[in-house]
Amino acid sequence: MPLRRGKRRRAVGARLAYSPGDSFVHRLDPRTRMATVVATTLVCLTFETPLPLAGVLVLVAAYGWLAGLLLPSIRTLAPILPLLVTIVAIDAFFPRENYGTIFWSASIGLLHPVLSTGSLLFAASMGLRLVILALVGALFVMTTSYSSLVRSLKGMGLPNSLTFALSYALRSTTWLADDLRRIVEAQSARALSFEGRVLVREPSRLLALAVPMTVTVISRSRHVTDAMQVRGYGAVARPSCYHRPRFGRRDLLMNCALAALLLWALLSRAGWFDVL
Amino acid sequence: MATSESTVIEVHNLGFVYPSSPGREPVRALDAITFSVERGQIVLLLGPSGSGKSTLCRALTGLVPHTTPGVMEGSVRIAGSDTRERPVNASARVIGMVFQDPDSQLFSTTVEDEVVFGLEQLGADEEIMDAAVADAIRLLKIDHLRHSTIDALSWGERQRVAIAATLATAPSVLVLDEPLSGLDAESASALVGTLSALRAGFNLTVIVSEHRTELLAPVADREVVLEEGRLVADRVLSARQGSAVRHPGCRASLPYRQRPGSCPSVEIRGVCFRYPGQSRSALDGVNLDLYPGEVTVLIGANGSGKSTLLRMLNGIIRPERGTVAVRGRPIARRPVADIAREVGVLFQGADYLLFSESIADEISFGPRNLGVSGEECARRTADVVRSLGLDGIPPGSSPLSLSIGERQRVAIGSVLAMETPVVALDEPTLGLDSERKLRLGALLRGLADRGRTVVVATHDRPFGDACADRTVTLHGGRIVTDERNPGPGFGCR
Repeated sequence: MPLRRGKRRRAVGARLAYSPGDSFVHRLDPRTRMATVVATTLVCLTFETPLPLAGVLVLVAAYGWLAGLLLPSIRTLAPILPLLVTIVAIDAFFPRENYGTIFWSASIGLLHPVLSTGSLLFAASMGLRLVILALVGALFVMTTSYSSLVRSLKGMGLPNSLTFALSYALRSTTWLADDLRRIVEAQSARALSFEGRVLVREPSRLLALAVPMTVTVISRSRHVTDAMQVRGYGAVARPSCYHRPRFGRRDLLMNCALAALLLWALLSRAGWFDVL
Repeated sequence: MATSESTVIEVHNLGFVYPSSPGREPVRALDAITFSVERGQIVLLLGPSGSGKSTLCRALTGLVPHTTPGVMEGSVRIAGSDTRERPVNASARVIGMVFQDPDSQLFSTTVEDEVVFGLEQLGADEEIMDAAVADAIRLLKIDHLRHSTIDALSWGERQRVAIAATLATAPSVLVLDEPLSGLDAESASALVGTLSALRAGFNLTVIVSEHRTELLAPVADREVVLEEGRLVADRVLSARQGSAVRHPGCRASLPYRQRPGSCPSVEIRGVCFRYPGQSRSALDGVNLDLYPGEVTVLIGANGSGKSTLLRMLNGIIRPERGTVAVRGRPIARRPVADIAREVGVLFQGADYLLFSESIADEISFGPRNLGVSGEECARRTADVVRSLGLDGIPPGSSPLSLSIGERQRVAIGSVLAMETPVVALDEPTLGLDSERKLRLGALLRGLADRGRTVVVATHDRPFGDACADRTVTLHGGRIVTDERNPGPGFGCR
C-alpha cells in the first residue's frame, strides 16, 4: 500500500532537488544562477501589471527550457498550487485598490469583497509574480548542487568557517532525522509507546527521547571536531578551493542579459516606458 | 629508547588519566607505555574493551592531550616531532586517523568534497589536489562513487571514503580505530587487502586497533597488547602465525531442517519491503520460521537485509507484502509496544537507547513499561547485571559515563530483562572484547536452552559460529542459504 501512495505522489509533483545535467544553465557559475534569482525577484517587485510580468514569465520559461527542466520545474509547483489559488482568490476579492467595472460586491459582516477589473488585474499580477518566483527558485535548486554552491561561496571569499558550516548544516539535517528515528525505534522496542496522548499525559517519557538525542548530538559534535582537527581544519589561514568556479563567456552573456532586464524594469518604473 | 632513522613512532613512558565524572573516580587509561614503530610496519593494537587502545590511538594523533580532557605523562613523537608541541591540525600531513564510526567523520555532501577536504584545509594547489584525490579514490576502489552523496552510501562504502579522505593528504602513518566493526566479511577482506597494498606501495605505517583479528593477523608485522592501560605484550608476527589464525567457515554445515513436532514462535511469510526513495528491495520475498530453543544467526553483506528483517519482528517497520506472525498471531495490526511483550529487539547503537540515571534504572526500564512489579524488576535486573558481568560497576553509575563496551552490555541487558519469548539482537558484539563475546554467546545459548527463541544479526562470524544452531545467509534481501550448525561451539573454537 505505501508503495502505491508513493507512486501517486510522484505522478502529481516532481521532486525539488538537484538534477544533474550539462545544459547551458547547468554550466553557468552558481553565482550567475544566484544573480538570476535576485534579478528576477527585483524585476517582479518592480512591475505591478500583468503584461510585463507575463513577459518575465516567458523569459523564465525560456531559462527553464535552456536548463532542460521546464516541465519538471513546473511540476514542482503542484504542492503549492492550493496556496497560490487561495492567495489569488483573496487578492481578487480584497484588492489593494478597485477600479474599472465592478462585476460583483457584497457585505459580509466586517468583510466587503469586491470583484472588479482592477481587482482581477491585481490578482493576476500577484499570481504571476508568485509563479515566477517559485519557478526561478525551483530552477536554481534543480541546477545547483550544494557542493558547487559552497565552492562558489568560497570563491567569493566567504570565511572558511562559514562555508564549512553551510556544508555541515546539510549533513546535520540528515543526521538529526536519522538519530531521532533510531531513538524512537529503540525505545519503542522497550515497550515505550509514543502514540496517542501518552506524551501529553506523561511528559516524562520525553526524557527517553531527549536524553539520547542530546547525548548523540554532543557525542557526534565531539567526534566531528576531532575528525576535523585530524584532517587539518584550520591548519592554514586561507584554505584552497578545489575546482573553484570561474566566470566564463556564458556567464558574461547571462549577466549582461540580467542587467538589461533590470535596466528595462527600472526605466519602466521611472516612467520612461509605458508598460501596461 | 634506541631509535633509528626509520623509526616513525616513538612512544615513551606514556600515561593518561581521564578526569573524574559524576559517580566515577578519575580513570587511568594508559600507564607507562613505551614502544616504537618502524616505517612500513602494520601493527595490531589488541586488548579487551577499556584497555586503552582508543586512548593510545588518540595520543598518536595528538588528540590526547590537545582536545581530550585529562592529564598526560611521557611523550609521543611522530616522525621526530613531539605531539605536545604541534597542534593536531598541523599533524595532518604526517598522521591520519580513521575513527570507528565513519558517519561522524564525513561532514561533506559528496564523496569528492570529502576526499579533498583535508587537502583544501592544508592549502594544497589545484594540481596536487587533482592528483591526490584521483589516487586516493582509485586506491580505495571508489571511482564509481566519486560524485555520489555521502547519505546514499552504505556503511562499508562510507568506511572506504573515510580512509580515502585520510590518505589524500599522504600521511606517513595511518591509525585505524576498529575499522572492521560493522563490515561484512567481504568488505573486511577488501579493506585488509587495501592496507596490505598501502604498505607495499607507499611504505605506509599502519596502526590498527581491532577486536576482529582473524583477518588482520596474516598481514600484520607486530601485535601490541594492552591490558588495563599497560603494555603487556609486544610480539613480532610471522606470516605463518598469521595464517594460523582460524577463519570462519571451517565447519561443515548441513541444510537446516526443523525439529519434528516443533511449532515456530515466529513465522515470516513472503515478506517484501523497500525503503522510500530506494530502487532496490531491502527484503524480497523472505520466508523464515524461527523456533524456540534455537539460536538463529543472520549473516550477509552490508545492506543484505538483516537489520530490516529484525526491525520487522517487532513491527517497527511493516512489510509491503507478506506477513509476520509471533506465536501464531499476525502482528500487522498490533502496536509496537504490545508486540514488545513477546519480542525484545536490540538495535545497533547503545547511545540511541540509554537515558536513565543509573544502570539499574536503565535495565529495568523495559520491564517497567511492561507492567512488571518492582520486586520482579529488581530480580531481573540483578540477574542481567550478573550474567553480563556488570556487577563490577557501581550500580548507581550513569550508563552514559560508561565505556563503549559497558554501554553495549547495559543496552543488551535492558532488552534481556524484558524476558520476552523472542529475543532479537542486531550486532550485539560491537565494542565487546573476546572474553565478553564468549560470555554473551554462552548467555544466549542459555536462553535458547530454556526455550526462548534467539535471533542475532552479526558480521562477527566466529561469534555467530560459536553460539548458532542455525545460520541464515541473506543476500540482496533474499535468503540464499539456511544451514544447521553441527553443534554450537563445535569446530573452530
